[in-house]
Amino acid sequence: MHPEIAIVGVGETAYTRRSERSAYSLAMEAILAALADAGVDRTSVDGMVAFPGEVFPQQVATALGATEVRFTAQITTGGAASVSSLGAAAMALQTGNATHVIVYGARNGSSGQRVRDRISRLPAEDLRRQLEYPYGWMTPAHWYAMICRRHMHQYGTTKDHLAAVALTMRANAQRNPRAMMRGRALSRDDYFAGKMIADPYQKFDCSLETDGAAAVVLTTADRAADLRRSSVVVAGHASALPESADDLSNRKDWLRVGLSDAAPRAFAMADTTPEEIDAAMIYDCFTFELLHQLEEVGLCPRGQAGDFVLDGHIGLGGDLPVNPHGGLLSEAHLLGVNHVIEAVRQLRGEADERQVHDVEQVVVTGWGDLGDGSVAVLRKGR
Amino acid sequence: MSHVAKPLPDLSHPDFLPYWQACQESRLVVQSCPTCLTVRWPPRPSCRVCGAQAITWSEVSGFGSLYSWTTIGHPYDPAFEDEVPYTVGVVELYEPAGIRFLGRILHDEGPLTIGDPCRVEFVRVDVDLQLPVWRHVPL
Repeated sequence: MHPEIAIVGVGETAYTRRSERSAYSLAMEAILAALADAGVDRTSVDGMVAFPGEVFPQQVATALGATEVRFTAQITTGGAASVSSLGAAAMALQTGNATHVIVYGARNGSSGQRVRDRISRLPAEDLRRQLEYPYGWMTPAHWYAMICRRHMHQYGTTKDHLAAVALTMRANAQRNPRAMMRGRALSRDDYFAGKMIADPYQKFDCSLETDGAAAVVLTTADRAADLRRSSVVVAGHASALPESADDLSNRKDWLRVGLSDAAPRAFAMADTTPEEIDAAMIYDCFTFELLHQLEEVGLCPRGQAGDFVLDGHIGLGGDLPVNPHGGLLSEAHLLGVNHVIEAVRQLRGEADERQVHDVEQVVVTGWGDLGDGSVAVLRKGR
Repeated sequence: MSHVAKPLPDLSHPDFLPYWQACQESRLVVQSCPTCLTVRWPPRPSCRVCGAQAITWSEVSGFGSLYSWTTIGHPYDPAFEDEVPYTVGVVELYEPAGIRFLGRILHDEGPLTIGDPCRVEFVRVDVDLQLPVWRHVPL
């Protein structure tokens, strides 16, 4: 039997549009906040899982004064790394290769990186350059708009369904002091007046650009028992690549993604089912991707997520609250690490006016690149 | 005209060389496996069915149906600013079945519908480059 793994600390910077700070500085603020939250000494960190590109574990280790780092990893599945990183951390802890692991993401989404820098980190860059960029098909908005169109064609999903996602996330953000969109209400008319990005995606179908950082601390449950916070258990986790992982065009079924394969494994590991989930943090990089993942993670039958959202099920008073923090669409785009943090705060009962009642189990999804998927079931610790 | 250079394919890339050479002759080609005859696109160094590494190239008809599309209003790359809105789509060939190409969809006013027929055309971009694009053929 593997030892149980717990998330024992969370931390983040303010989420802003222009931080005028380096990603390194932002990362250290979030990591130190998470370690303080956990009550873990910074020199005890001996494992790190980082998002590729911005801030390397070597930089973090040196700034922390952590001299015994022995496990480092960078997960190359885009936004799916948010949740896959929890799995990597868990495996390092369970095998004894580390005792305290931090997972962090940091970005200067608006002030630092340019789009061409960002897309140069995609899988199969050769393929992109040969067969896609020359046509001006370059970004996730362009790719996922076409997946959304397939879903509309096959299941009758409409712009009204997408609008319901955008408006729900914006309404949720009004109860979250950290949300970039707090105080900025969004009406249905505003939504439909948004600039066309890649039909059917308009401005408010797309997630925010954010400067900031977010971090979590994991350790084994026996160590967690001695720490200051009530712990949150990583009850199940799984990741998967979709079929034709580097080429959307020739994927047989565009709606079947990594998450479709990962979800049953994560629920089985957690010995639970989608019916027993109290709230969900879904990687809402775009409005349709929230609908898509609700279906593929098993919280909603295929083709029915649009009506599910339109009927109010995912709002704060609904039977399956989704992204009470406002998500990537209205809190911040912190690579989904902010979704993990919200799940932890909900399970600790620290979500104030957006607290979901009687929450015992939360599912968190990650999504990246052309459909890489990850999912974790987090549970209130004993 | 935009003053930012458009991203162009690397015509010397060894994995794609026969493809771009055929485009120069207004022919559309795909790879196939000489061992098990599985057709594949885009190019791969080995066959997903039998694992063989030998490659042959064969011409395809260039007729297919629209699998999905998006009309882009915000290209991100400033090189395409002067072309918006433009439509990019995926066309599934009638033969060989299941092979799909991404490209610009050239269409007149009026709605596009998934399943509509499209046929390949070649647009000269440079002296050594013709890009395949897809002409929407309304039903």
